[in-house]
Amino acid sequence: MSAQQILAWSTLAAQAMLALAMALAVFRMIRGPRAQDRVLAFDKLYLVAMLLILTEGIARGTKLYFEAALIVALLGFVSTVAMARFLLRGEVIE
Amino acid sequence: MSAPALAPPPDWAALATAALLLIGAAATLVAAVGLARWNSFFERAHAPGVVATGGLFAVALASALYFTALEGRPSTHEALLLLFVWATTPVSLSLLARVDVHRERRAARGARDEEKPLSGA
Repeated sequence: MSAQQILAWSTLAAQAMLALAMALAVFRMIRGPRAQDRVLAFDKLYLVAMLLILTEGIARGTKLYFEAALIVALLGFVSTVAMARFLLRGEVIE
Repeated sequence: MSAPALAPPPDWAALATAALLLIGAAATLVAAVGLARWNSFFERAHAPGVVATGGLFAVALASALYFTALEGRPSTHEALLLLFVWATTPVSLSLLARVDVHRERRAARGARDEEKPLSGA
């Protein structure tokens, strides 16, 4: 087994583990007893999605996926803050 | 899996990338199991921090190492993602902790959701 094959298989295994982590976050998002638990699960969900996109970029050997991961991180942070402020104040922009 | 257009990276770089990817994905999976199993909100609030530190650090390091070896020149743009996520995760998590404290207090007072003060000031 060459090093390239090991890299290909471990990329696949890492993607499977990240997909399972996303499924667990979705489980908590559905199950979460209160609204803040769901927002927390969403926060984790977009972080794991960002890691999955980075891993896909390594698997395909192109840097194009990096910008997508950056945008996911940016929009995920903004939407988490917006939802947290909505839960705190009842409105997003005052 | 599509073959990269450039020459494949040297063996040591491919093996180190594979190890870092597996470490990062395993840390993320452990944090996800914790998020699904822990019973209180403040325990669950630790899970995204594990992803943002351990998982993201290992995967970003793997990406930087792989593209440095693949293209033969330093690949540093992963540091941008790392710095951004490390700056924003504490902000969102402390905001969510404040949300939990606020809502628990309001629930303990027995106020309905519609009866909140209109302005904080």
